[in-house]
Amino acid sequence: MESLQLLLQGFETALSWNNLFYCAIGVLFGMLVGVLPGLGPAAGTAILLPLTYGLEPITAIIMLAGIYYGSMYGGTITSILINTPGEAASVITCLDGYPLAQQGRAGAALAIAAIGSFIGGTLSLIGLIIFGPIVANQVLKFGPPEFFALVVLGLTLLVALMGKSLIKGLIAALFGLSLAFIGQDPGSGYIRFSFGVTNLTSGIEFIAIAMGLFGFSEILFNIEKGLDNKNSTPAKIKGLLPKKEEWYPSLKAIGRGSGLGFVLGLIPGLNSVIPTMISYSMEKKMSKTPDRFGKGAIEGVAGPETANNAYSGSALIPLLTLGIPTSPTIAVLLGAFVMHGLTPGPTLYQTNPTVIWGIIASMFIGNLLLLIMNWPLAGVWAKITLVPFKILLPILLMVTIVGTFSIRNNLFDVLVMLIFGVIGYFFKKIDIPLAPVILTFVLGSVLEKTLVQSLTMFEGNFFEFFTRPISGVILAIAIISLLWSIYGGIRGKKVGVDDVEI
Amino acid sequence: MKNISIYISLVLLIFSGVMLFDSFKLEYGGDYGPGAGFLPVWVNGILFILTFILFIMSFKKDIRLIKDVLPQHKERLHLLITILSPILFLTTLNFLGFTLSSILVLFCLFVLSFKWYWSATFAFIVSIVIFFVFKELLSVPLPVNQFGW
Repeated sequence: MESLQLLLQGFETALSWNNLFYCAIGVLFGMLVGVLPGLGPAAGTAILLPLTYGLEPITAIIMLAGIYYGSMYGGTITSILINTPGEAASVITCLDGYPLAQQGRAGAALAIAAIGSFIGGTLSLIGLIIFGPIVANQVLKFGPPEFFALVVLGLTLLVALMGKSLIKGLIAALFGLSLAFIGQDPGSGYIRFSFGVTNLTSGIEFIAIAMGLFGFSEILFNIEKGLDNKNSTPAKIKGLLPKKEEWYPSLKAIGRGSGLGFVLGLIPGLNSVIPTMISYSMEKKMSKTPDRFGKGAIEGVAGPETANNAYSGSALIPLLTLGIPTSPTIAVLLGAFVMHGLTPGPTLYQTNPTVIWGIIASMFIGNLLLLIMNWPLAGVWAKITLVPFKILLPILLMVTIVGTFSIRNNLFDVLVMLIFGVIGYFFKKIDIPLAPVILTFVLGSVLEKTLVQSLTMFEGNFFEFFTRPISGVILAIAIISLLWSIYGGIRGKKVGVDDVEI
Repeated sequence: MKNISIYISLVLLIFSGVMLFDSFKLEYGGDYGPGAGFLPVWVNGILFILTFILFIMSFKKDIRLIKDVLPQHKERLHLLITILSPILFLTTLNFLGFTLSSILVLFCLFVLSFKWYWSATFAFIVSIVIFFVFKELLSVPLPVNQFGW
């Protein structure tokens, strides 16, 4: 009941003209990021982050959240109309979406994708409203050992699930953690690893690293593919509704996709591609006519599209309640929170309820705006893909450079962005995943601070972690997941996911 | 030595080695608990061991030839120019000011695909728009020349 009251207050905040305007701008940019192949949600959010510098914190986060979930909608359009996924989560939509478009049923595919995305996104927000405050209240009882255990669990799950090689995943995670040590020690205030460089005494700027790893490196990858690269002309859209008999199976797929996406969004390291893949195979297995899949089955569009939007809503739960990001895009959002003077975590529900509930309310509005933008205006969005890369990429590069500079008005950050852009490019060349780098970098200071506090409490005895029930259980799960991953790696059966959500 | 994995793992090995070496200079433990060097020693130590394994693997298991991994001919040149463009921006910004530096960098990028006069036009328009958005709308204090742009 209290949540409902706070949500209504959130709507009051979100429905102010200013916030409504920036929510619309956010989802508009998100759609653009989603529609443009080669620019994923993390890169898009990082590149567009500077646009929020002059805004109020709540308005800025509303806009950035809009970019995040908006991009999940946008990628669908190009998957269906030109068989080119705008972002990784929409890859699976090509399988049945494009065949439907070839049969002259692009309108039906787009309609079911938009409706599914809306329902999935809205249901996951309801989950966030119900579970968010409960989790936040419980987490308030946590001490440093429990937080340390939670961060370790998040990181081990990430390493266990991310990338094709466990060694490379671990190297990426430890590399990010090592970078996080640069600057002031959170315990003693001692300056570490600055190597006499004044700009390093305050540490490396997170946004500069994110812009480099996800923005600049993506630009380099697109340039490598060739500037003359062109997308094919979009298919024509006829009719905007599925057939009568298609509604029931589609709605069932949407229901399953919502549940699946919501649960998977809570697990660190699972990018938005996994819920779509599992949803697709689940729909195919549950279908009485699985041979239709790949040839234009509408459930093959409805399930995965719903799952990826449900995922994007529930992935905010660990961020808002624990302050722990579960994917690179969420890490960029965390950076945005910090940049605007807000610290996501359980206390945010107490100290800044207007911000939390305003953001949640804005996401309902954003989802509705996206439904309107997607459904009848899909054809217009598809035409954006015709903008040639040779015009787009130099503009994106300049925005990335200026955006990085404007973080602290410091040219050193541009140099950092450039270096990490090149690092990201070469890491991807040898399959070192980028997500663990950014996530461990973000969580590095929390990890170290809580470890130092805990060990001080325990007088240096590490095994005390296992004497506290919550930290003990969480650490045990972390160790088991890591051992399971090592075992899988040795047996050559590592269940890894590609580092694609960028 | 045409295997790119060797070079990347070697760079990582040097990085972790330097960080590990520097970690040893920090206090490992104090009277009240772990010191500033406690976690860095462990993290950089494990990173050093893992990058060493990766380095060894890159000779036998993880072979990726430069010619297969990096682009050839025109695309390689484009890639190089794109990497160098932020450096050009950084070196010219303080004396040319934002607008001229931006026009210069964008011209270098556009001219890879367009005729010089189109490149100059696009570079000019995009720079002015970015200058207006960041300087006027977002109030970002961009470095300017003596004329204020």
